[in-house]
Amino acid sequence: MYSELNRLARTQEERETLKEELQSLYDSLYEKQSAFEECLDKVRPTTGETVKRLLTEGKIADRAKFIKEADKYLDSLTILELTVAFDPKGKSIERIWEWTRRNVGEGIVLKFTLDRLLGAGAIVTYQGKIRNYSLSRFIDDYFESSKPSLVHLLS
Amino acid sequence: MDTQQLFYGTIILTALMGIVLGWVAISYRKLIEKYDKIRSTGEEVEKALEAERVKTLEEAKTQAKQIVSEAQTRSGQLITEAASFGNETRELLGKELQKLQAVELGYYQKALEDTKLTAQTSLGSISKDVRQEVVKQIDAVRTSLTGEIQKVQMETRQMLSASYKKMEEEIGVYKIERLKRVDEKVFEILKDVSTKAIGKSLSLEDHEDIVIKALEDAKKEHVF
Repeated sequence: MYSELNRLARTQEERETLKEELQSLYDSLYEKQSAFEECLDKVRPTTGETVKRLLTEGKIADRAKFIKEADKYLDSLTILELTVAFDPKGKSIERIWEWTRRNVGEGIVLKFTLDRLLGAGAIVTYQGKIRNYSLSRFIDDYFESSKPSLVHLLS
Repeated sequence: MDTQQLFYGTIILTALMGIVLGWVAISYRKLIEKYDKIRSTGEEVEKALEAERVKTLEEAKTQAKQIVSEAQTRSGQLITEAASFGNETRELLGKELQKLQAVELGYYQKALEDTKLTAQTSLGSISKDVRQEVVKQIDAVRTSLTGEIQKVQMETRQMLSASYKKMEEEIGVYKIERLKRVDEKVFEILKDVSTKAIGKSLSLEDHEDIVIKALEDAKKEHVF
């Protein structure tokens, strides 16, 4: 059930935003009676709609417990860090996240770090493992292996 | 018998006087030779020698006079004691004594003259020898200095040559190192330019594709 929330928290930033929204909803439970519904309208539409649907479909009466469980689920997501040479937005995030969901599995949250010196590609960091698949590394390797011929060419 | 004793006594005395005079003369000559050896000490030595020579001459004269005087006194005493001598003997003795005195005096004077001449020659040659010695020493010093200068020049030349060679080697190494660094820098620039140029030429979709490709490679390498 909570895996639905993963789609709202594809990246580290989105997860933080969603956690803040859930906290707002949780806080509203202890305000006036209509506060929770009002808060659902204030959060991102996708968040409001998903929470409403999950509460309805799950027939959940204990909203506070639901929010706490959702928060725990978000904390349990595994981070896949990608250092990239461009600033990924909407469609790009969706495409990359979909690939990871299909190929790595559910419960992944992407953490993007921008480094334009990479040129292209990515440095992948996952559960302590790091691999550099960037263009800069490719070019480094190329220059290293072609050094003698390049030196000859330059001289 | 007494006359004969007196005669022999006179002869012995005169011989002793001759020996003494000879000894004085030899001593004086030795002294002069000694002075000759230390003549290299220069003008002061020369002056000292001169003073010493005069002093020695004076002493020698005094001693000679004293000896002659003593001999005469002793002869007179002997003659007086032998008052009983005959006239003939006395005349003979007197003549012999005069002869001996003349001979001894002649020896003495000759010895004195010889000594004086030797002293004068020695002292006269001192300044000349000193000058020759000084010139010789200066020549030796000059030769030694010339040798030393040549040696120092040669050593300096060798040292400079070695330093120059070392410097050239160091410059060679430095040049190679710098060229290597320049090459490295050129490669770095080429890499940066290539990376940036390729990166900028890519579209958003291309970037996405390459990131997906990176993820696929990571999966192949069992990163996930």
